[in-house]
Amino acid sequence: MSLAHPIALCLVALAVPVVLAYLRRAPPPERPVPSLLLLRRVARTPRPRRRRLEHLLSLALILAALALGAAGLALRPSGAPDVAWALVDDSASMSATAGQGTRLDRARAELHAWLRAHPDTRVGLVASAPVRVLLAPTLDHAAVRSGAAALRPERGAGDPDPLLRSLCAVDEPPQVLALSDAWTGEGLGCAVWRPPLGEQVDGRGLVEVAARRVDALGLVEARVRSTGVPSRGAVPAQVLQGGVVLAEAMLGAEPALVRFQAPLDASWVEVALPPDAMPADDRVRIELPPAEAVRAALLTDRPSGYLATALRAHGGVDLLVLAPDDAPPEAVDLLLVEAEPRAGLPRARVRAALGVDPRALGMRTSGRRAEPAVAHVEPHPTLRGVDLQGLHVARSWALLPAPGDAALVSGPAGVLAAELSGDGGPWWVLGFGTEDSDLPLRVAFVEIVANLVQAAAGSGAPVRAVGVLSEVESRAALVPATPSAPGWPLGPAAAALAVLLLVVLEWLVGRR
Amino acid sequence: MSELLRQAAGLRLVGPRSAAGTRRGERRAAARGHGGDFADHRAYDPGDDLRHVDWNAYLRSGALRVKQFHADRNLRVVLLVDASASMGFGSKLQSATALARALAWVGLRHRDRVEVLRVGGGGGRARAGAPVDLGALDRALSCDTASGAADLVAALRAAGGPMRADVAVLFSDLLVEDEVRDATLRALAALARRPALVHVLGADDLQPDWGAIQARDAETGERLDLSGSRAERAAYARVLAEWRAEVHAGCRQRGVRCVDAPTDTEPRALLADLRRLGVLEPARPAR
Repeated sequence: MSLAHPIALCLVALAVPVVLAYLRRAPPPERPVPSLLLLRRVARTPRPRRRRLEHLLSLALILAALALGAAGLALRPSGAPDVAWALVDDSASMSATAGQGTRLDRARAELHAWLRAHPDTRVGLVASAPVRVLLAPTLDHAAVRSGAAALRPERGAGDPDPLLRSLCAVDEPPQVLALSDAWTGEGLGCAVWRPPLGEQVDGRGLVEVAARRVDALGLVEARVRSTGVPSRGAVPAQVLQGGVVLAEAMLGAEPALVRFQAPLDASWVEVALPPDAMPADDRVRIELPPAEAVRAALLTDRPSGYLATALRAHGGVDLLVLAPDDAPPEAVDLLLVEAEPRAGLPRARVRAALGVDPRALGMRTSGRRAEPAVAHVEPHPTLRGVDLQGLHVARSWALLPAPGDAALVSGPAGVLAAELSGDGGPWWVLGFGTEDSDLPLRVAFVEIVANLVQAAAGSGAPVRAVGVLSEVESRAALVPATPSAPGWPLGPAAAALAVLLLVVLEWLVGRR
Repeated sequence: MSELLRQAAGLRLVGPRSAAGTRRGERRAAARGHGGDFADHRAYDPGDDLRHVDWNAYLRSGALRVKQFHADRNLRVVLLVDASASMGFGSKLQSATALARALAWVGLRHRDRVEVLRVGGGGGRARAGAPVDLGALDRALSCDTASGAADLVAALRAAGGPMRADVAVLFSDLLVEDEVRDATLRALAALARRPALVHVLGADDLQPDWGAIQARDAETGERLDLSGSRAERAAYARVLAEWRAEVHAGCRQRGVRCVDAPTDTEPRALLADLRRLGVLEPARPAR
């Protein structure tokens, strides 16, 4: 604004009649009174010379008020730059609460106030997540405001130093408005003004989340870490899927391992902390890789038998049923044999035989026993959760484990189940088949099949959650603001205040 | 007859214990004479009026004794009306004149010798000893306009020597400098044995209403700028009360009866104040 502004001109023009009015000001009307005897005691009688001085002081005050008003409207504040760059930080930490809104809202408000006070400054706009120039310096402040209004807190972040250093490397360095909670602009070479963007907030947030499928049955293991954990406390966390809480854990200073069972068809889960001042890092979504099916081969002469049916019903199993004369594939994850093989066997991570003559597999046996009883069951992964009490076996091969082999199920008739060493790895051998006992009618059968499938399933590679904030960003640290805006000696508001003070002073002088 | 005169009809001026008048009147004098009140006996001297011989005393004692009586004298009353310019505001001068006329009439009705002096406003002086002379007093008091400054001290001194009068009443607003006021009260106290001040104040003195003006003293022409602020008015009320208290204190100190007579006072209340302060009293029934 310049002195050619209509309001400034009006104020200057107003000074002329004010001066004339004061110079030609009529004395107060004269009025006769009975006596000045008492009035003299209440009225301070200024001497004519002093009265003239007060008169002139009053005039000077009025003129000073008018001059200040005009200057406040017309003069550009000393130090007001020609060009300024406004760096608006749109990183996630700017979503932290600051008063009624967020830090980003506060930054926009500060930018608007600065623009109002510097109408003659060309202003450019830079965002920081990622660092990018949104607007070249312009006098169109409405465009600057609308550019800032379009910014949303982003999860990425960048270092604006290189860009602003290059922008400051000019003959007349521009002013930089650092509307950021993290960037200080130290050593930039430009005058940097940082307005206050609220208070320091609770910096708790998820900074590390990774997960992997442990098996093909939906077991998932997540590694979770939160920042801002109290030194003698923990932060409660939840794992959710579709609003259902799958697991809960308390997070300490160290990363926590959380195991939970996810639905097999679940493609993602969420890890959530209790909400705080910055919601951006309170909830993280992890995409789970699809569970890899276990490739199983069943060598059987009963393709519709109990075992084939159980394996087909298992969602995580890709089943290949082989007849004893069929050519086997080269390798599978799980090999189940309930008939004597005649065409060779594929390589497998887990091999199991049920009711097959052990000699056909190169193992020793003491013969077949009728009605053997189950007396003892050794703990073993394949027998996890399996209850064989009261199992009725019509007939079973009695196994003879070699040194180093493990007898798993035994009774008076001998060893009925064992883990036996063989060519290409151990065999899990059950001396009786599904037709020789009531095992298929018991829950134990399903457990044994599930345990075998789980043993054959490999663990998936861990997957890191995308968009997790960095620890620095998550802490939402707030750099201190500069005390006040530089180059701000006389804005219209300050001028208005000064005018008001002078008018009050003039009124007081006039009362004397 | 005005309301004031009608109210004052049953009253008379209170004089000193013995009147100092030279003419026969209704007040007992210190000297022996032909009054109605017995004073003493004395031995008969040849040539004494035989009507005054106390024959009862002669029969009891065998000696001729003559009865002596207190002489009946009139009061010498001096009424001074301040007609300076300050008395011209409102109805101060009219009130003072009416009241002085009423007191003069009261005095004349009781055969007192009344002297009226108008100080300032062109001056005026008249003396009367009977009700028929009230017209002369009226002429001396008649003054429509107050003007100039009144030298009350000189006027009081010119009214007579020390204690020349029995009663002296000054009607004035007494808006003069403190030392002049004290000198005035001293002169008034020296003039008569029962001096009194009727302090006449008008609305312009008691509750003045002014804005931002340049006030001009009606007597001296001096000017003063006033703002008319609330604080200034409050200060005036305080100063006025203090000043009135000073006037009363000055009167008490010099034995001058002081009666406040604001111009809006009812005649009945004003006469009651004059009676209360011993300036007027109910008239005795004629002997």
